[in-house]
Amino acid sequence: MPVSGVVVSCLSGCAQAVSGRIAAFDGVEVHGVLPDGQIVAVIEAETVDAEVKLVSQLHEVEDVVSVRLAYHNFEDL
Amino acid sequence: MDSNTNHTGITRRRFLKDGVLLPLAVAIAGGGVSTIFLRRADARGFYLRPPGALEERRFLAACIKCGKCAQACPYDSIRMAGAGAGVAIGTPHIIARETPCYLCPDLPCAKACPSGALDGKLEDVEKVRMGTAVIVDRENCLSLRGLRCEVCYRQCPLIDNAITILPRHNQRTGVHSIMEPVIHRDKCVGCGICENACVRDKPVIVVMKSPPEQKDYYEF
Amino acid sequence: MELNRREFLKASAAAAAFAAAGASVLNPKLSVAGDAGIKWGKAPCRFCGTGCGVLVGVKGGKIVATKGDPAAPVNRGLNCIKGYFLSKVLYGKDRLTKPLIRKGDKMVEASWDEAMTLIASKFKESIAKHGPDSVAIYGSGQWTVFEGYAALKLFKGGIGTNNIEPNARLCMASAVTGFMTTFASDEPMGCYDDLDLGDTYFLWGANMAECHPVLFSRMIDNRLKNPDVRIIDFGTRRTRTSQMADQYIRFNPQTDLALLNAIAHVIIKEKLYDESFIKKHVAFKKGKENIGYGLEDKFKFADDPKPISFDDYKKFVEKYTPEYASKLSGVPAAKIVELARLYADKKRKVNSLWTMGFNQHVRGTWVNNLVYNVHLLTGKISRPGENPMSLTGQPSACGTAREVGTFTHRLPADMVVTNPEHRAKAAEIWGIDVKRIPDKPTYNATEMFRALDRGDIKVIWSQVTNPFQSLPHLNRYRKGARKGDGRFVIVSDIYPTKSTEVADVILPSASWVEKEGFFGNAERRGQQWFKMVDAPGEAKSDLWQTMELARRLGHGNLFPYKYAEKEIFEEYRKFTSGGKDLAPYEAYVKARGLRWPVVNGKETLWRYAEGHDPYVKAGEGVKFYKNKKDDGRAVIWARPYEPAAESPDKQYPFWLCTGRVLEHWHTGTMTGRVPEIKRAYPAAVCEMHPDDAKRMGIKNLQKVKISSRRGTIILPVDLNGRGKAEKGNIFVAFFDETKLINELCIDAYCPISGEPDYKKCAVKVEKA
Repeated sequence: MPVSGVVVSCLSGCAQAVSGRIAAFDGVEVHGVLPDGQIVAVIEAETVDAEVKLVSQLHEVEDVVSVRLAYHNFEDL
Repeated sequence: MDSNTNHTGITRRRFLKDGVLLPLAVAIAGGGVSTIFLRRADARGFYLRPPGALEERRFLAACIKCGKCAQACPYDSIRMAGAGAGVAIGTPHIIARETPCYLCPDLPCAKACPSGALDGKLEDVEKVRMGTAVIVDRENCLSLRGLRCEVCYRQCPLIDNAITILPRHNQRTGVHSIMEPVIHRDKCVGCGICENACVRDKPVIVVMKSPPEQKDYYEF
Repeated sequence: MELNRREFLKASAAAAAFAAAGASVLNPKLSVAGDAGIKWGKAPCRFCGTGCGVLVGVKGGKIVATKGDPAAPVNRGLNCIKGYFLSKVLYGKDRLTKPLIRKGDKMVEASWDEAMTLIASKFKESIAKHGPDSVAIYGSGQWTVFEGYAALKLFKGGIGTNNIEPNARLCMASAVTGFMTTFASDEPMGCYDDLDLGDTYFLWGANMAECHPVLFSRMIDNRLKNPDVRIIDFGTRRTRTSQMADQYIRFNPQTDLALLNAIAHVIIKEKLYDESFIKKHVAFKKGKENIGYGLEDKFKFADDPKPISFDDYKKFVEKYTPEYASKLSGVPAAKIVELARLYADKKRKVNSLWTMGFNQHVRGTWVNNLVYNVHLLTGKISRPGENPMSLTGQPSACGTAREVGTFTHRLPADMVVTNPEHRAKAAEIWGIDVKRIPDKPTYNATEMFRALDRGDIKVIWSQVTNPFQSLPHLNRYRKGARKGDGRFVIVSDIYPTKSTEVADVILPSASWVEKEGFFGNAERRGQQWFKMVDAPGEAKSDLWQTMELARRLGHGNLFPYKYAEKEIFEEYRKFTSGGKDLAPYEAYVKARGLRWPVVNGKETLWRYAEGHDPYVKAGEGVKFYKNKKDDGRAVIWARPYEPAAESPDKQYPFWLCTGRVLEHWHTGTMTGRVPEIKRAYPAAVCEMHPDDAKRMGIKNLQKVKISSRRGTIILPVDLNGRGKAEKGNIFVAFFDETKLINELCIDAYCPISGEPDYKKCAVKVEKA
């Protein structure tokens, strides 16, 4: 079951709204919004495929510019 | 970046190409691939054969499973496949993560082969092609994360040929460089020393079947 | 368990994402990081002298994670592979957890009380029978400041002997005497910022790519940003550093002395020097020549410095024409001229960096002086981005060994026992009678173990180091330790080592974050950390051990502390005002290290430089104020080329050089316990030039027998490894405790610094 840490960038001024939108996804935990508008979140999914799908869904969220992966663990737990 | 156009496939692809998402894409893809490739080579259906082995299908036909190559190996790197190997049962192979091929200059294993499954006339270790090393899990590679590891590079018997270091700026720290190990397919012999030496629990660099050469219509 | 592991992973994921986003959310003090329940604390890495910061994650009394500290200015969240596995060095299976006492051939478990009673009785007996100079302590550049200070105070101020030495004598002593003779104050004027700010880097005998990995990546990044940056690697072996340098200049061993004089020759002949800088800031001197090699027991040397004029100095370097230096060194004369011009180029910000190639050198002090000569001639010193910089190999070689002064001749903060005023100051701070501190230095490290072999030293205590693997001419000293006749060897360590093998008592020590500590790195940065986990079993800190011996010897009054670490630091701080000033302890608790002198809470990046160093007055520009003897001038020394102690001949035709690899640290007692590192680099090899091998019919990986006049060893040959030996040279790393290469090394040393030359002796190589 993979766990990832991601940094989400969004259009300026939208960080709070975006963090609410992405926190609504199952398997996404928002850990913080930085002063420069970047959002730090942790993603959990059942499989790597499901995770990839989840990350691509995050891209589609309104006002999201990019999702960068900072940490990825996919050992069997 | 224009957020209004990110709903079509084409712009998404361009988005990827623009590089903002490239590390992510590589990492996720690497994650998918590596769940398969981080296993031992024999468990992923690829047998790392001793130096000088014929192409796999011809090798299986030629190998008489006598074990002479394994006897000749001074490092006990060559072992004979067990019952789980199907048609390959009893054939010699190397589990690089346990004991790689150390590339003896006189290739005693190939010389010991009575059947021609290993090419006894092979003289130059640099001509050996057992497979090709590939970094299958970039995300977990310490060097790519900016740490000074590069163990695979420094332990490579063809250092500065099969693996070189490409330094690039580390944007996160702003003052350090990332020393990226780059594998050169045309030089890599597939000995597996890098796979053996990798310090991660599951090696992020592994030897894989050499990809077939492709015709290139572009002259470099 | 599953849940915990998962939570841990999630916390790691979040932390990594925060770091990637450039945020520093981590409190420098111990703090609880959210739901994972991991306490994070800061500490410097305990390997090399770079001083990278790490964050240590503790849960359930155990370190569960470490990572590079994004807030640490040295490494900004990065580590090398040793630092990555740092916490694992504490959790090897064979950690020592109980005191052990020798009973015949066996080591038997004992209580602390039994062990300390035995040790105290041996000390008392030896002191009563043979005097205080029959007992000794041998420590290290891995001692925390508190540990080094306590040992110094006990031996010099309590027992009344100067028998205290650090292993830094084997690694930094020539840098010290270089600094002291040129500037009258130890340690560099520059700092790591010079790696970002300069554009020309001359490396001398330093394999920075492997031995200072994080600093090297910083210098390389400077070149990525500025294509004008030039890195020139002077060496006797082609290394990973040479591979990435713009130029690799191969020279014959020992001829760096001639090369540097030739560079000075060209600078003078072409009038490339900075006349006004020399007039204002430089004095010229010469010392004795043909100074010997310290090969005989009880070797003594005292230099006799004589002032000379600039013209005298010009005459002195006249002999070192590029052609003459070329003949000695093998470097083409035109290349010497080209590099001298590069050194002097007024448009360039020039730095010199060096490590053991200079320091482990029978003329180590001289070669340090000579590199300063070039910087002083050109005025490229004490300016942001251009400085000579001596790199160090241990985490607190600077902070403890050098600044606290745990050498036979030293006292804290550049003071020496031979100076009555210095002794008086120490006695005053220590509250003792000044007569207690002996005024004569006794033994340097090599001589200390010679004295043990002869029986002049009876009782010796080794802490945080592994002399019976790391000394040169090892056979003699290993045998000497077991000669009996009242000799008694105590070794404090965290694992069984080649030194515990010869011990009469082994004491289990606490390591790194198992105790509170303070290290000082190569750029004068002091870094503090708290104890974060308990040491295993009954292991105790070396500080406790030293103070316990003091108490049992009746010197407990020297250590009247309640919070020993902090109180020792504040006491030690009294020594440091006037140029080596340290901040109050609390400041280091908060900061990610501070570079001394710290005056009014402000650290100093460039010493002796106006606007940076608070001791330089407005209008002075540069002032080498520590050298009062020469009116605040630095000294250019006339130091000649002299040959090595032992050069190759017909019988022993190869040069042997020893050193380190990136994966392992020193004698490998810690890195060898990390399975991942052990697998990555399991055993020592002998690097040899392919042409030499071909001539002798030796194939790659074949075993060879290497012999010197002192020992023999068998190793596989590596003809195409990470390091490439030059013709007529071989190289062997010294981390492998199953292959004691130091048995072959010669115990010749620099007569001024007392530092042995591990880089040059003569050996023969045969097929095994």
